[in-house]
Amino acid sequence: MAVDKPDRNYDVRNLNKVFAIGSIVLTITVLLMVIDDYVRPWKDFQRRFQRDEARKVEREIREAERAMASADAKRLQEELRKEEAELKKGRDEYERVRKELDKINAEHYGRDLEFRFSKATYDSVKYKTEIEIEELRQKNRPDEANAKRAELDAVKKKMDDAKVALDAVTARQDQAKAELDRLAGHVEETRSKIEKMAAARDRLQKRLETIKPGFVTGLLNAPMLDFMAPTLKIEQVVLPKLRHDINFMEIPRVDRCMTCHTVIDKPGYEKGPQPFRTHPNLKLYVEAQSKHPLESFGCTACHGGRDRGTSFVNAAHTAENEKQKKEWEEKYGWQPMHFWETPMRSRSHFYAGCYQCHSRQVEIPQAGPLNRGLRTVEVSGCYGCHLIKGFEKLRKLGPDLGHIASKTDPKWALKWIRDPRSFRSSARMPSFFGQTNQADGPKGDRPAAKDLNDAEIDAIVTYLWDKSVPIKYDPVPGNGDPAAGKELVHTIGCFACHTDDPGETFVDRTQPRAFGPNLAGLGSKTSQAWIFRWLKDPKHYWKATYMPNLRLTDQEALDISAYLVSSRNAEFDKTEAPAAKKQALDWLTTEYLSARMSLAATAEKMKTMTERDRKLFLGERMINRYGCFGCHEIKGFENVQPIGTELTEEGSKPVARLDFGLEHDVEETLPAWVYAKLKNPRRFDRGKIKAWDEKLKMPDFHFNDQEATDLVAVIQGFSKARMDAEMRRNLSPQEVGIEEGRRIVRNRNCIGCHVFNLDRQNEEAAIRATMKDPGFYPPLLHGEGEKVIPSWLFSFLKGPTTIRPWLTARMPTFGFEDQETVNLTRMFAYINKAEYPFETDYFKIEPPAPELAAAGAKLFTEFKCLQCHIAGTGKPTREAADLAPNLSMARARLRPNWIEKWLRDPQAVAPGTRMPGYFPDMQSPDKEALGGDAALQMKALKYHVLSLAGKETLVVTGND
Amino acid sequence: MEFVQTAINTLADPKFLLPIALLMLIISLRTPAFWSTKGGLVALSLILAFFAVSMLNPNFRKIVTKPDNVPIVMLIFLVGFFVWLAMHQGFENDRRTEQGLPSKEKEVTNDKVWVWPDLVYTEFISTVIFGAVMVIWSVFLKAPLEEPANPSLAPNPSKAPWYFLGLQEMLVYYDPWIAGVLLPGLIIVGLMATPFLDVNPKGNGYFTFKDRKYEITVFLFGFVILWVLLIILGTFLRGPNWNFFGPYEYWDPHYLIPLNNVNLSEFFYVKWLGTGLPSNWFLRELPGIILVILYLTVTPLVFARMWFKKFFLSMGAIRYQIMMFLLLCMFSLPIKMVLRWTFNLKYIVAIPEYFFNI
Repeated sequence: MAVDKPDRNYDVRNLNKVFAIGSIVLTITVLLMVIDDYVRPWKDFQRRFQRDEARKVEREIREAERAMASADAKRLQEELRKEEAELKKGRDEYERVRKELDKINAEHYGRDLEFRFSKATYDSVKYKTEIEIEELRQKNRPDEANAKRAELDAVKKKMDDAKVALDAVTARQDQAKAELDRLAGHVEETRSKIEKMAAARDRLQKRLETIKPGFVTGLLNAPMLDFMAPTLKIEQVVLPKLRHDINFMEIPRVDRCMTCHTVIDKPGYEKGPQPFRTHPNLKLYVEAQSKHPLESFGCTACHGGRDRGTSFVNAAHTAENEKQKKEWEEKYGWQPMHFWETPMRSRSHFYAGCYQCHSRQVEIPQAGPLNRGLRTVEVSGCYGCHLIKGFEKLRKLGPDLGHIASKTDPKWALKWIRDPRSFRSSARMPSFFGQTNQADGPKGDRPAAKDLNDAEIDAIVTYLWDKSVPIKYDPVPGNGDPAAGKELVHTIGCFACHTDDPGETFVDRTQPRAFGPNLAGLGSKTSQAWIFRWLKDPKHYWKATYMPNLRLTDQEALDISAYLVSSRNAEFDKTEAPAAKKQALDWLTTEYLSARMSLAATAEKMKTMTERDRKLFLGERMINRYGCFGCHEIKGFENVQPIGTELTEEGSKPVARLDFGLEHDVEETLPAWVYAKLKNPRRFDRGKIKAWDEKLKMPDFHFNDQEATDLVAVIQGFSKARMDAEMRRNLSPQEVGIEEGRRIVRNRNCIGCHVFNLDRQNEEAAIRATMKDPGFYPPLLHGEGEKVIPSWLFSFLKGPTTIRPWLTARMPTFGFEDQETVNLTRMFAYINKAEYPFETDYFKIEPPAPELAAAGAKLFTEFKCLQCHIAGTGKPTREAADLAPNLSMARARLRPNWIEKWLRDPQAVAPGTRMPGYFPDMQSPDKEALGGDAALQMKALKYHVLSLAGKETLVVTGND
Repeated sequence: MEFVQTAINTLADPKFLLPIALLMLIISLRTPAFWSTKGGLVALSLILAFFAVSMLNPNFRKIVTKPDNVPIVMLIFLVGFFVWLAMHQGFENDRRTEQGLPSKEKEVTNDKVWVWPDLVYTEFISTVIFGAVMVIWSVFLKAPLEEPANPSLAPNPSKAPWYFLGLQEMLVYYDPWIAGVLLPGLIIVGLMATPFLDVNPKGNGYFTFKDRKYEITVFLFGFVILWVLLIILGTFLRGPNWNFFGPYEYWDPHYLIPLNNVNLSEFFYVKWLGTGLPSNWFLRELPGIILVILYLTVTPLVFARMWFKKFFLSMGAIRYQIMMFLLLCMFSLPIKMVLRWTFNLKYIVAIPEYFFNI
């Protein structure tokens, strides 16, 4: 049966053509794939670096070669030539010894082999024999065992013989070698010296080979071959202790930054073009010996950014400003990495990274802007409304309002709340009212925003006055002299924390003199009686106040209060206090009532409320809404939770969680959002249609650009960094003690008067700016721990006594709790690594030898110590600014060894002191006493000073 | 231009898009000219022109060129082309049959083709070209990777893989267990049952439309409209919060659409009878239950009497009943959609007590 030949659906020739085209296309696409895989931006960086580096190395090689051509090298070459010539003379002899040595070498080889073989045989026979003997012993056949043992000894003898033979040859070999060396003279030595000179060049040459583009490197880096040993390759550090949280697990960071930042750890490229630039602070970072070596800390843990990124864009770089952004867009095609939640911190924010590990320190070393930002958080009271872990223990920032009615009048409070800066340009109290989202006119039945604000303020003040518990103030005992008061304010130390200059606005609100309020205009706020009582005992009005007691006499307090109350803010006095309009008050009351009950019930309730009732009700609601109790103690709000968002991990908040509202001008990043929020907290309400009580309520702190930038960095630092506990800055018990003390130092503004850190004299002891003569400066405290005895310091802090009677500024009585005093005392000792709590030297003082005592007294007079120092009843002759502490206190106060250190070089202990150095370079001006031995003389002086105590002994004085 | 854009935005809303698509399907199946070469070219150039012009709009461009969505753009053209190709050949054969000629397939192949080269060689060529296309695609469009999944921060919109977007669209109208389990299950069961239900012997080995009008129409409705169109809708027109956005609209995540949907029981008792809802769930849902039972039982009978007499006779009672059940289930989706759009109907039967809602 014939089979029908089916027709073909396709012409094979056509199919061949399609196949050919398809194959060519596939080949091309495979090439495309290889190229796409091969071409990586980081390779360009490395290539560029290698090209420049090769040039540099070539230059260095030329330099090395020049060095090799130097006179020194020439001399060596010359020597070598001479020695070689000499060697040639004795050539025959040399050749003979050399040939002999060859022969001996061959023999040595044979003997050595023999010995090693015989040793191997012996080891193996020994093992076998051990077992056999043991078996025979068990079978109780001692004769056979002894025979075995003899056999083994025979094998051992063979080995020993071989060793003897070997040793003999070795001795001959050594002899021949020595002979040869002698003949060759210093030739080899000189040659190795010359080689050493060339080593530097050879090393450079080797380096050049690996980086200089050429055939070999080209081959090593060729596509498909570059898996073996490419010279262009991704560099990385794996950091298992610093991790990313990818929600279901944590993965180690793998930092590849140095793939392009090729010399980040190599000094010498400080001015190189990015990315070929050395890290600007190798001492602290990156370098292996630094505190944050690259191998264990990497880069992104501090800087942020995408650790595994190997291109400019996908490393998530962040531009510092618009200009740089534009530049990057053009140069690198920069765009934001939308899906990377922790982009790099920009230059002005990178200190944020420090806080992740250093959060336990009051002051983070070398992190100036961050410390400033953290201090801004403290002095602005952010923690009052926002829970921030680590800040919970801080005191409420603002004054206690429990007795407000006894301090000021409602009119002042009304105007103050409406606009604190209208009274005091440096007011810490932020502005709640008259903000951008409270600026519209009436809407429907809603009164105008201004009227609503006025009603709210009125209600708050009414509530506060209603809850205020009056304190009775007796009339002041007499009249004060404002001029004398002014003099006192200017001299007794008020200016460590205050100013009385009405024009002072304090651009930097963290500086010490902005610690207390500006004293100008107090007359517009309060009465002389209140100021008088406040000065006499600040804690009477406000238990937790940081204002210390200056131990003023009644007359002093009278004078000061007279002066302070005489200053009025005329501008402020002139303004009208806001008062609630009935319509606005009723509207607001209805609004807040109806949030809790039906409209009918609200109307019913309204009928029963007097105007005062409404104000009280509304006041309570308003204090609740605006969170006044976050900073102030207010009755009825003792246990209310703070109103703000928790900020503990705010820095890790995904951008999607931030409400940008209709503000499309704000870049969609966390830093940009926070910055905008800080600059105008109500900004994101713009254009939103919101009910009155839904509006944003964060007040305006009037942060300047610098402060806002610092705060943005701080908030980025409030992040949920994932790491092993050991990576954090963990504090030793001593360091914890120091931090506890520093916290008090900061809370009480001690740096207003004292210098704790010599490097920061400009920031600390702000009061100096108000003093003309450095002789009146409050004492430096940077070495206090090694200077004074802890028990004395404790009692001094509890109840200060006069050490330097000539100083006008007084050490106030802070009213420290016992624990606080201990913490401070301990801090000083720990900072100087001094003994604590006992001064053991103190107990080692023995009665000095008579000649030492006599010399001490003599030198004491000779050096005219009493010209400046006080001791007992003697009166110093110099003028006030040159005076020095009372030496009769020395025994109770000073650590004995410190006295010697002080005498040795006063300038080293306290730079700028007026105490003369009597022993420059350990040379005494008195060559006679104690044989002119400076050390002994100092010892004698120490004993003398300690003996001056007289009747003054260690007395613990305190307030209570 | 503004007006055209607004019009297209409005018409793209599923409540218009689906009826329009259905209408176009019916019209095109009745218009042989549409399936001619000329008709195909016109349709193609119209779609290309639409894309070209629309690309000028940034919102449209953003969605269409997203690497995730590129396959769906290709899908539009590929599905269009292959439907056109099949229908084109079907109409061609129908024309030939009218003229008394054998079908094109019969004329060319005499029922048989060689494995080599007709099958194996062409398959091989396809493999080569497919490989090249895949490489080019993967080189020029990077994998659309995003940030690590975060359980407390789901992406918005959260979309299923593209091939499941039809199912996700169903979730808008049906309870998860119906939209996600029952209906997809029925699709598979229905496809498996098709060879046993389809008793029409015509159309084997050649393309035709005339001989299989009913079968092809039902298939195109189920596949092109209820599957492919819903995928396209889910890809390009469903934005944040699964809200509908026209092709030229910005995907605003804060955009709010009021959702006030009512159950049938509320319609029945509250709106029509003016009483409260009965506390007994069975009593409460009785109207809905009756309605569903009627839909599944009475409709086949009515159809058997009226329009589907022919099918009933040729298929027999059991086959007919199964076919009608599958068909009714398929149509339950568009029916529910229409009810939602017109009456804001949430559920016909809503028994939250037993997690049972239809």
